[in-house]
Amino acid sequence: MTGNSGFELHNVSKRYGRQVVLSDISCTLPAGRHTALLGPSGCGKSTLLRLLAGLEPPDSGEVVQGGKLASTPEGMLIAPHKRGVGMVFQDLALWPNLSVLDNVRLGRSVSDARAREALAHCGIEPLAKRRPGELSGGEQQRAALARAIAAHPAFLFLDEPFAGLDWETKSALLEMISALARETGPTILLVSHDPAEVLALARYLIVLETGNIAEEGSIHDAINQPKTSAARHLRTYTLGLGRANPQEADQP
Amino acid sequence: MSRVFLIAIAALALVLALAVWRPWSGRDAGEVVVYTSVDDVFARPIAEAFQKETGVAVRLVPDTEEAKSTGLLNRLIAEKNRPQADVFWSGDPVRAEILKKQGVATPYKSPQADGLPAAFSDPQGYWTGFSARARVLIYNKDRVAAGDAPRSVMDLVNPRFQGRACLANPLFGTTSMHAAALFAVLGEEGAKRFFNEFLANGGQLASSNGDVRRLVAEGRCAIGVTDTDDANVALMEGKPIEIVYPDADGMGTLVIPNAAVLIAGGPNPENGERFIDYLLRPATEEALATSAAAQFPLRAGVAVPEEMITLDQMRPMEVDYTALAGRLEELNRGFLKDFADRAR
Amino acid sequence: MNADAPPIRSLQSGPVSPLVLEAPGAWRGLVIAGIFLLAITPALPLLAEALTSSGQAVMSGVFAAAVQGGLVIGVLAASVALVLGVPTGVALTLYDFPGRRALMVVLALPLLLPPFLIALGWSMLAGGGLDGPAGPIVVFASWILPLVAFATYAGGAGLSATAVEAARLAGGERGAIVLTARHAFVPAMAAAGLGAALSIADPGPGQVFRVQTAASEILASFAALGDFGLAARQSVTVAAIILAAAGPLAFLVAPRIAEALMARETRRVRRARMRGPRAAAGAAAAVMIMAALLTPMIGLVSPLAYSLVEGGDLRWLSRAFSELLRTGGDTLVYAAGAGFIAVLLGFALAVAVGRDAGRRRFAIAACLFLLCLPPALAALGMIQLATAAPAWADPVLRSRFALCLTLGLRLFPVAALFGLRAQATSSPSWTHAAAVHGVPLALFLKRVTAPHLAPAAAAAFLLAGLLAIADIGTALLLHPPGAASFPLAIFTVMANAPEAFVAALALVYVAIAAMLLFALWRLVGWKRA
Repeated sequence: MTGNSGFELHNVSKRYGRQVVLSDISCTLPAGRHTALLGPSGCGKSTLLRLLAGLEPPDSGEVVQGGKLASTPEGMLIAPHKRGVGMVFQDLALWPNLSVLDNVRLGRSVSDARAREALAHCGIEPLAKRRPGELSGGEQQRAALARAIAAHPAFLFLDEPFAGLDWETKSALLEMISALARETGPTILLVSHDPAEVLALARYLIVLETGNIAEEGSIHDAINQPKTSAARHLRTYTLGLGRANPQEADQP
Repeated sequence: MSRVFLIAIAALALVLALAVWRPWSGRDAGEVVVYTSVDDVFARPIAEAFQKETGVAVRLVPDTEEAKSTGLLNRLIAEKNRPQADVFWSGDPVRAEILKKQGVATPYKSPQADGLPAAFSDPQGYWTGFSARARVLIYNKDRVAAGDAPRSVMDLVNPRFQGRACLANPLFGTTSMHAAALFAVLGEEGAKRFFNEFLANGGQLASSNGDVRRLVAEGRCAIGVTDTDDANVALMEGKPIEIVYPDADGMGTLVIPNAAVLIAGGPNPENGERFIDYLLRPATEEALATSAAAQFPLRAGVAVPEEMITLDQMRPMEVDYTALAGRLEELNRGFLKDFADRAR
Repeated sequence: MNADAPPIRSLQSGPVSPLVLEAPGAWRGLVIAGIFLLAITPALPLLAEALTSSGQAVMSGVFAAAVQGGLVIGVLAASVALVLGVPTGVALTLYDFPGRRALMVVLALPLLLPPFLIALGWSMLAGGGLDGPAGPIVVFASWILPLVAFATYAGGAGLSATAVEAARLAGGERGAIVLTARHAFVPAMAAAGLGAALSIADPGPGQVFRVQTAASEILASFAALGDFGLAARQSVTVAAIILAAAGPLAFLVAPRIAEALMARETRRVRRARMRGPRAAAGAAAAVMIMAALLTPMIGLVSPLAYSLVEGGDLRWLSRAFSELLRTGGDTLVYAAGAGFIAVLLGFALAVAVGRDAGRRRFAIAACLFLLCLPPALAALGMIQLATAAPAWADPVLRSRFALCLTLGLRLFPVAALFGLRAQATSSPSWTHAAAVHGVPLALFLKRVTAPHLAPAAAAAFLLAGLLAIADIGTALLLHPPGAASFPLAIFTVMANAPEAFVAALALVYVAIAAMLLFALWRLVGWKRA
């Protein structure tokens, strides 16, 4: 895999029809820096993920991975499955006609043993033979997560992966992912609206507003000196936590 | 979306309402319904001329090419108790005879039938024969030298045309009638021997007479048996074929007259009779002779194109047309079905 | 649909709740039984004759061989269509390539032509080269291929964009292709099965290429032997054999269809644009498929081209146009009427079947059985019914409506498959939401159910309409005198008409039909078709 070296965006823009989703964005995502992408709905967070994963080409600018040109407006120079990216999609993107195990083994590079390992890791190995339609919401989320981590990716892209989950399941999954990040070390790129998820998984933050980067920096700095409403929201949340549990608030 | 949807529904409901409304009225005295097994291209001009002359509108229902569908005859029989048709203009007497046996036809002796030879009509008047086709041999000039030209239907089983002769499926159309006639003329044994030898000689079974025409015209077969109208169309298209009226010195050429049938209990019987009268006139025989149908008149003294071979110039096979239908029914279920099965 | 489940009505004092659409109820069984009974009614007189009459044994060696031949041809043609059609459908789903739209238009062409004409076109070009089983296989394959490709495409359209992206991410382009094909395989199989069933009932290509099939044997029983009882017995035998073969398949496939089309909010798959050598390859493949489909057209039209070049002779074209003027209006009535009736019944069936797997399997099996029956059975039965009925019933039983009705009843299973599929994509929570907000059933049907089913209904309407006017046998037997359809006119005219005239007729027919189809397509929107 082209793997462990990070991504760079150079002056990337993306339009859908007349709507400009990203305009002239430049930033870097080095390996090992767990990053949260914040911003209001429709500000281009998911699009940014898809550009990085190589699922869409930029309209202008370029995406670089590990010092090599990865995507240009003319097309993909590094194919999506060669970028070492695992991804949990907002709608989970499970194939309804495939069993959970086959969903996890979507890529041929994933062996049966690895897929089962990932399923076990996510606590749903007994459900391997079922189809997504036969799973509960939490189980589907686990299946999607198992698929994303099965190939031991260098990057784990999470696009609002825990929407609609109960608190217990969500915290268990958050715990599991951060443990995974510590152990085998995929770099996490998280899109979320939930401060708890952001605080649990990310140390760095990029805020997008109307297609531009409005704020960028460590979460610690952002909480202390928020520039955007997203960061202020984060700050409010940590202060709220602080009242209940001051120790945690000091170490986000 | 919802409005487009409602408009679409309304439009379709209108279409169905339109479909229920009959474009004609069965009780309107000004029309006649004619079912015909004569090819559309030949029958329609006659129908249109009738309409022009009499002012009676003709609703023509032609048959599809033989062997491609269940066919008009079945429709006529199924509609027997309350027919929609007034006239069946049959391209051959066998179908007419079947209608008579099924009780679909009613006798009608037209005043216009004068001069038509009685041998080609039902003696009881259920059907009247007029202009005719003949069953002829055709051969491809590029594949058969003039000296080798076939002269008899029996040449289909001649070793010199081994693997190069074709015949239409004898379960259908005029070929079935021809088969029945061969059984009548050659006798049971002789006819069976002919058909068996045809297969032994590597003869090909075509799906229809039109198919025989195509096979011979394209040179995929050297000789075949078909109807004069099929042969004539091929000639007019400049195909390299030659026509032979077979067995001039033997059993003779099978003549296939048209047959006009008045349907029993049809909605417009007077107009039906008028249409039959029109069909049987010498002028109609002349029109059919000069058209691409190239049907020769049964009457003597009708003007015909110069090159046309008329009844008095050929030796017609002597068969009892009314007997053929009954024979055919039995043959179709027995020997001919078996023959067609073996030919595949 | 007024007979609803009592418990629900007793809870509500007002209008009927849309919850009946999700709840079990006696009305479902009644509606399903009623629709199938209606559909089989025209065939009943002959089926009764088949069961009561005694006569020649059905399974003679010859007939058995013919049935086998017909089945082999149907299955091989469907297999070829699957092998070519699924990749075509996947390409249409996933990629933009030069000639994509042209390919979609050309794909619809074979559905316009009765298989008999396709066969004639091929045989004109190939001479005797396709005689034997090869000919019908080529013809039916090129006729089933569009069904498979469109079914694959429709299946892919039910896929979410992210699912495809997940596949790309995990397995690259190849992964996306393989998985999309796998996803669409069940609807594609269903389409191929449908095509095979229809092909087994069609004697035309077998006649042209001189192959004995079950359909041509049945035709011989009808037309040459005049033995309707035997024909009916043979028909039922064939249908039963197909059902026995396809039944277990349908049984397995039915629940998968529902599952594959689970209700979910999906973002449509965004087609990747092919560039460079890939675009060229895509275009080349498209051209090859188009060429295969257009070849028989070329064969059909070549005599006309010859006469035009030879003498600049426009006579045949103008005569073809006058035939079109004579029959065009009635043709549209038949297509629209039959399509409408088919969709009405098919979608009513789908709503009545609901989400129950057992009912779904039964419905699919019954639909397949109906499709396998030769059209002549129903057509002759309809004539007998109309003849037995009093004269005042003529506007219904002996009018253009009668033909629309018979064709609609024959083809409603096609629409029902569309309906079942569309029904499966609706979410039960829609009805729940409606019930919570007190939306009455009528309003729910109008505002939610109908618009949701509308795109599928439009597609089913088009397909049923096209298949209806291609059905010559039924039209010949049932059209009111003087109200022939254009394809029927082609068939009646083509005996002994000059080849150039037949060619002109075929050309005019295909051109006009393609134009209408194209216009409708534009109207409904490319995306939905």
